[in-house]
Amino acid sequence: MEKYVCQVCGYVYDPEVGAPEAGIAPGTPFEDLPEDFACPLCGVSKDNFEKQ
Amino acid sequence: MYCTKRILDDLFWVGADDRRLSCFEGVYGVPEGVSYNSYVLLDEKTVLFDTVDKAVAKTFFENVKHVLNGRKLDYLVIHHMEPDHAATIEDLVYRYPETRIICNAQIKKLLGQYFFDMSDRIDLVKEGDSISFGKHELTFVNAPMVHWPEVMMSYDKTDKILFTADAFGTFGALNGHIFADEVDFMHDWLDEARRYYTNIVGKYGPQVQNVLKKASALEINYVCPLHGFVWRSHFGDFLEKYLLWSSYEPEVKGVCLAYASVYGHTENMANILAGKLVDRGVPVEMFDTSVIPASYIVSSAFKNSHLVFASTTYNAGIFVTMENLLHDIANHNLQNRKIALLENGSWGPTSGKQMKELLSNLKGTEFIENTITILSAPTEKTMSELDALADAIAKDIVGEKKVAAPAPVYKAEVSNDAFINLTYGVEVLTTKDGDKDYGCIINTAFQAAAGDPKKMAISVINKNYTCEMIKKTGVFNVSVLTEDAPFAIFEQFGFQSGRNVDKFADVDYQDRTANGLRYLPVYTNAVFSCEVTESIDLGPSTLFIGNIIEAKKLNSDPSCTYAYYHAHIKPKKQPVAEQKEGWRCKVCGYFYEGHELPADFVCPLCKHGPEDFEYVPAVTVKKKKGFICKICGYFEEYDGDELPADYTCPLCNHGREDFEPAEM
Repeated sequence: MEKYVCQVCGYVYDPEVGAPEAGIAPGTPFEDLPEDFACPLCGVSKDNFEKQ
Repeated sequence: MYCTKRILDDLFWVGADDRRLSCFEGVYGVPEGVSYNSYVLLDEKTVLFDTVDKAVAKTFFENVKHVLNGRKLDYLVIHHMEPDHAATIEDLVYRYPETRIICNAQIKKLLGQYFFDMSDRIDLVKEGDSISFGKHELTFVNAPMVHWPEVMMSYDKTDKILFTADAFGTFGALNGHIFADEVDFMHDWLDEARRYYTNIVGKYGPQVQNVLKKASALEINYVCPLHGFVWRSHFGDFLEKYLLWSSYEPEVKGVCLAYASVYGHTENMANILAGKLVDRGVPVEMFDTSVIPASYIVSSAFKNSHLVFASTTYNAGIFVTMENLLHDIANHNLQNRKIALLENGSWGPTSGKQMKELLSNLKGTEFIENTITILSAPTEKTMSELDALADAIAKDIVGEKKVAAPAPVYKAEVSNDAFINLTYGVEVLTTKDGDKDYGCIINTAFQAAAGDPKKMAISVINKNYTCEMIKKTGVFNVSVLTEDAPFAIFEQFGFQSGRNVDKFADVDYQDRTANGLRYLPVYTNAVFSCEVTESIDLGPSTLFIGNIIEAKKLNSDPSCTYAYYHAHIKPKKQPVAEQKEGWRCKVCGYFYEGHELPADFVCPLCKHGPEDFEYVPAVTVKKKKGFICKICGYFEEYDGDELPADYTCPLCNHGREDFEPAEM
């Protein structure tokens, strides 16, 4: 599964880790993240992420 | 020794200036220095807001100790973990081990990274949490990426203070000031405040907008940032700039022109373009990228609507200083600009294409085509290309090219002095309505046309009752005044109104012309009778044109001209006569001033004694205070510093500006 990087603050979403602090379980691919997913570090929306 | 500032009775600035720092954040020159702000609140609990850079630690600790004045430090609120504010946290917790730290989860994580795990002394807060310190209740809001992800701001509901971390800060040492209103911020500080914002926070416009939205719901009386001034008035002026900067809208319709030139040819092209732009009314800011640090140019790029980059080609690429600048501008997320590119290359000019690639991802950005190329040096062809570019930019900024009106070397003025030289006669104008006679003074009668009948024209002030009556009846007489007409005639017909008085009440002449209208048989030498054929309202006056149905020469006395009236009839300012108390010799007239004549007095002139003197009481001529018309001499008795604004002379209709103070 591919990692995605927040273009604003550099946060890396690793699907194998998920984002527990945002309630996202490990193993969740980026595409499956909810539309209202916010970067856990800087709060911007999903469309600010790009494939690493 | 402590060096603090009082913000409020219970809020103190405990920060310091740093004037030795050569580059802020390792890159931004700060020739005016920089300040690090920290605040202490003395409520039932004591609260410290952030700390300072390590460079000013000594003064900071002296300040905190002084303000606490023996009390313990209950809380440290941390808004921002950048070391220019957070570096001294570690030393603070050693000095004040009992202090509780209030911060959010991300700040807690960074504390662990910079210093050590401080969990045992941290009280975590989340977005919207509130804590009361006694009189003051603070609410915490997150401001992610303004300009770091962990940033928190707090709002004191009691005194309506917003602690904004780095937002609303500026470069520049405070130099003894603390409030923005103690300096001329918009004039002297805005450039550095812009350079601070655009370089440090510029990339995070959307995040700043989010915070501004949150803050717009709050009533804010004080803004306390971590650099620069505390705002307690006119904050809107600064906020307005933040709204523009954070939405990437330019402040100014103008050009930021930056060039990279090695031997001066590209510079020459840039200079020529700058001149052409200013000729067309376009404001220009210009920078040599070899000399001016990028932060100044980035700031100018945020300020201006149009950007022009001129670079020579170097190592088959963009000259290094320009390349660095353009990367910087792109990294700062600048948007919504129009960009023009100029390139130079003695063999393979390619910088233009590469500059375009570098800038092409900027949102909302348009390139003004085409890139202008020179080979080593500008030519005549370059001049016309630069003209075309300047025209295109000017069209956006100034509008359609207007043919500039030649600057007038001569300004047409209507000078009152000239009018006094026009030559007129002076006449008494009369008319009749039913059995009532009316009359007024004019100086505007002339023969308008020959022919059969001949025509006469008169211009009469609309406010004159005679004018109204002529409009009503359509008939008038003109009696031409002679040089021997006394001022009394002007007072009789000019200083009173037919609305209130019968101006002919006391006259002993009853002469009338064939049309039944009165005329003056005294002080005149001719009379004309007219029937109005047309009238034109000119605003303050009406022009009547009439057929002359009777014209009589009365005598050959010289006519009074307007100039003669001014020179000889109009009263001059009179000296005020006054009679002092004393005794006058009945024989020779000698006057002795005094209340009592001595019993043995001898007249120095005729040697007669007191029996030939008569007592003369003091006479103060009652001075009438008022204003005299400089045009016609009419005196208005008036007690006041100036006539009312709507006052007009009853005789000549001029306004109060043609009156001067006088006594009669």
